[in-house]
Amino acid sequence: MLELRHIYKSFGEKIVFTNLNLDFPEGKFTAVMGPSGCGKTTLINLILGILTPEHGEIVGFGGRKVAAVFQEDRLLEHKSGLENVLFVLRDEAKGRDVAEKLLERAELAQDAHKKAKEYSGGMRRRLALCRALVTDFDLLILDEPFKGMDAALKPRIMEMVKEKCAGKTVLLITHDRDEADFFDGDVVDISNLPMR
Amino acid sequence: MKPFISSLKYPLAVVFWLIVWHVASEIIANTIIIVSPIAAFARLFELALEAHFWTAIGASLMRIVSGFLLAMVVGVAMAATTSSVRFLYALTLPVFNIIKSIPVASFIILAWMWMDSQNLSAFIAFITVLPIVYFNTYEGIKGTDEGLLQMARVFKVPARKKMAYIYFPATAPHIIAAASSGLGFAFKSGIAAELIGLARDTIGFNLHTARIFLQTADVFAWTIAIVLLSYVIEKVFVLLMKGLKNNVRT
Repeated sequence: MLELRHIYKSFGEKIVFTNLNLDFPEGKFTAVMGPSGCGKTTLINLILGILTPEHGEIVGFGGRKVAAVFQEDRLLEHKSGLENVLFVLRDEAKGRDVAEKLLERAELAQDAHKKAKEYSGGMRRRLALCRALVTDFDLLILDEPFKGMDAALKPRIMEMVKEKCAGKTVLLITHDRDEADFFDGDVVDISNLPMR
Repeated sequence: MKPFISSLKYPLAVVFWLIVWHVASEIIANTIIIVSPIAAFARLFELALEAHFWTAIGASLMRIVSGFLLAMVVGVAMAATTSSVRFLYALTLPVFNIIKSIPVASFIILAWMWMDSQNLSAFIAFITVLPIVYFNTYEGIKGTDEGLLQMARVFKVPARKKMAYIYFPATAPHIIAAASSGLGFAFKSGIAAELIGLARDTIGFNLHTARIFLQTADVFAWTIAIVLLSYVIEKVFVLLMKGLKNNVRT
């Protein structure tokens, strides 16, 4: 079980969490929902260790193989799609096949050798997803991964994510209830949690 | 047609100033004060046929470029170290600020008292270029995309890959800019050091001799040689750096 206990986090005058308590079950999808500005991305950044809470503790996240799709794509703009995916692998030669198959599945095979800066918004989200899915993760954090994706393509990409994440612990940040329901996991609305 | 005309702008500007120089030398008509560009280039060709010219060029080049390259290595290494350790940055900052603001002439005179005049130009080139490289590289490292670094940390990307794919592309333009301006400073200060320190068989020493004997054509010829040398070395170095930046791959 991954646990957040009595988390207090503020940015100057702005208090985001005063006493946040959350559990995420192992090997399952958990969709985290809530309106803009309620602290979803802050929550992700706390879990990833990018931010530190003033009080409280995060239990069960240490020593894990983590992969993530950030709210911003965070791509190597001057490198190709394939190079972006290979970047996160320790053994590029060994993982090349998997990377190429993922890009094909995400319908990016044709553009695999184009620089990331030439990708459209939706393509960049798919590339960021491939980069996360290529790793041998045991915890995947997805911050609005399907945002800006082509409506016709989105179901196929969601299906790919569901398939690749079977049996793994996944935290999905989304505004979209349909996305949350699609993955058959728990749904947490953090704006309704007693944290103040 | 437009790009062709545009490419001619710089050479035409050079020709314009050569004409101005020539007219000025004709008006002044005193070869101790100023010689014409024709006389200066003619003297340069004469010098180029003498062995001592190439000995001096070689000796100056070797020492100044050595000092410059050492400053590049030390400056980049120190910027990399101090950018990750705040205490070290605070500790070294006053030293670099002092080095930056001390006049080169003071350094030359001080260093002249401390060391052999033959090595003076290498040391002066080093000390002049070091703060330029340090501050430029430090700025490049600090300007590296924090989002990409966080991404690399989350995925536990090895340090060598982070260096090649994130830090190097972010800092390379700053290092190239530092190298480009640093080389000019290295030549100016290094030759001044040779001149003040009277390092034998160097460009600076030849300038000194020309000054003593009022050989103005020689002063101009040696100066043209320095400008050409500095220009060629800068172009070669920047080209090498750009090639490295474009081909960098783990």
